[in-house]
Amino acid sequence: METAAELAALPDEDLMLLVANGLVEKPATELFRRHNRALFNFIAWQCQGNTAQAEDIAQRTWEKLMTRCADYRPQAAFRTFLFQIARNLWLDLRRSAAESRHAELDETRPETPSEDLAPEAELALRQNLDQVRQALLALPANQREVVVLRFFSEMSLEEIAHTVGEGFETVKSRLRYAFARLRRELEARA
Amino acid sequence: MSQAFDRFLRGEDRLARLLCALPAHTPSAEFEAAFARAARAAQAQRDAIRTETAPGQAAASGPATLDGTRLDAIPSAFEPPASLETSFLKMAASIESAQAPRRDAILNGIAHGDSPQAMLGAAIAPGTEEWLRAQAPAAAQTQPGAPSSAARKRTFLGFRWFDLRLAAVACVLAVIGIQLALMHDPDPQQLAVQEVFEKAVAPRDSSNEADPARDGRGPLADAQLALAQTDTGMPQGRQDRLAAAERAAAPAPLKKSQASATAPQALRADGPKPASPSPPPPAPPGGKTAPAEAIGAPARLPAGNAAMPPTLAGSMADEARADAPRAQPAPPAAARIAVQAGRPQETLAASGFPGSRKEEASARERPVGQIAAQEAKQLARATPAEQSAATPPGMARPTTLAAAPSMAAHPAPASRQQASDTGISATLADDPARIAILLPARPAGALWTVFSSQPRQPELDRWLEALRQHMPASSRPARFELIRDEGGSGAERLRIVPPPSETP
Repeated sequence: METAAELAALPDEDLMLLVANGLVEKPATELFRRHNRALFNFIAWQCQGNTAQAEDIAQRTWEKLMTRCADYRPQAAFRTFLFQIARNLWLDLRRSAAESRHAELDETRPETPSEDLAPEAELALRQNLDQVRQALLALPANQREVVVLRFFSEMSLEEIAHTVGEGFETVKSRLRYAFARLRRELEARA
Repeated sequence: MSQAFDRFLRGEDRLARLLCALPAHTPSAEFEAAFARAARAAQAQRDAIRTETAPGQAAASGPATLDGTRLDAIPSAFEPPASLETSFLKMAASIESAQAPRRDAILNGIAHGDSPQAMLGAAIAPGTEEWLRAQAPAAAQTQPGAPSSAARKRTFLGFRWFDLRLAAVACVLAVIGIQLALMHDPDPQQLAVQEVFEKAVAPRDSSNEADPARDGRGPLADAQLALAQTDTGMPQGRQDRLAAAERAAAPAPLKKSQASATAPQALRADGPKPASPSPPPPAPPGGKTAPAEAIGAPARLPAGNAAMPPTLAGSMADEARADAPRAQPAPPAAARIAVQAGRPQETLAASGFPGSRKEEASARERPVGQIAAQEAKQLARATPAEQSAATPPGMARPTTLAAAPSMAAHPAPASRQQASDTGISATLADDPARIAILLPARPAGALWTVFSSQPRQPELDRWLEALRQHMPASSRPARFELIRDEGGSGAERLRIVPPPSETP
């Protein structure tokens, strides 16, 4: 039977509906196959590269998804639902670790560059991508989060806003802060 | 906004290209092998849990679908470990087995021709429908037919033994049987009670009213004694006759004082069922004579029956109601208050105690206050519809509402609809669980608005997250949008405004 091959053609929302109605294994495996890497990547960036912590959160995310699938509404995008669960778990972990959120807030007014990065700087950074990675990891969590969702998970600003539970303008503002800070850091390193 | 930032947002500038160029990790061979092993194990476990039928199903397992095309499309700097896949598949298999009844019900329904959309309760893609239809025959074959054959064995004349229809038929037959038995075989004790009341009615027709207390209470006491000795209930018609006899046997002064004492209360207490059982009367103030002793007759009754019989309370309520405007409905709580409030008054009057009006008033009002407080607590838990129905038009609700100031402080469900428009005020010191109960229901995933003078405070974020967790999943918002409240309220205060309701 070509069950799994057929499942690969079904939309996420229908697969989630099947999981919620007791047809768990194959649809859930298909969802896992589609989204686990992006999910794990998102969490790992949020955990600043701590893959053990990211694995724990990813496992609990999938567990929560399957045990609380009744909360899912078909009109909501599955991916934002999944990332919301992961993000909430990550936030819980941070709170339990008594991380100060104030330390993550970037209160300085960003000076947004008006010009693009110089070609020489891009070339230098491309030859040493680890600096880009370090600059990204050094961002405050709420800024790093929106950058990862935008450029690695390829979410729209609306999807990011839905996922992180913030307004559209807030997401945009965080991206602006992140942009200014990344430019500042990378131009200094280049 | 700078042009450079716009291009960054669109992923067109050099910085965005650098971010996207961060190394992407491809799945290792170990990763895919572990995934395939775990999937095979999960499939085998599932096949063992279900029946050994449906050959060929085991061949259709997940690992065959590992084409990897979509996996490579995701730029990723962090690779999920293989152990994550293994634990996930184990978890999926266990949940799959736990959900077997639900799954089988759906697949059986589809196998019997039901629409997959109807079975799932939501619109699904045609491909999903096809997939479900493909699963249904296999699931129907794996069903051992247990429900149908077992049900057939336990079926008699179209009923299952545990069928509710059978229980309903049995109830109807029992009621008919009892009524027939009562009609054809009246209880001798009931006949005796009837005779006593007939005797009580006869002398009243020709009696003088010189000693009403003595004349009125004698037959009444006898009737109550007979009633107390009767354990079985009576037909409704006979109860009505007995109630009429009680009314006729009641002494005139008692009747007048009772009516005057209870009339103001009874105006509010026009209960639809005057013969409803009343609770035990409150203790008389100052340790005065108990109501049962004051009336006289119930003093001879057994201790268990010392309380006032329902019919007596009903007749009193009838008399009081005779003077009251019938068109005014009354709250059931007020009816109970009226019945209980009449007791001390009746005690003092019947015992001939020449108490002052003040004492009578205090004896009348003290229980009312206590009961009103209790009733107010009950009303606070009542639904808004009940509260509004319990308040007669044009009549104040002073006793219960005045005794329940907390009702105004905590909006009852009645005010939820209003609160949905204006929002609910709270402080960070409030318990989020309690506020969550007060919030109106909205579809899950909606956007709620919160006004606060200081929206950027971590305590507020934590409090709102706790509130969100306490809200029921069916109406849990996606998030709260914080808006600065320019009204100048304190930093602790906030106002939660739900999204507008979809229905007008």
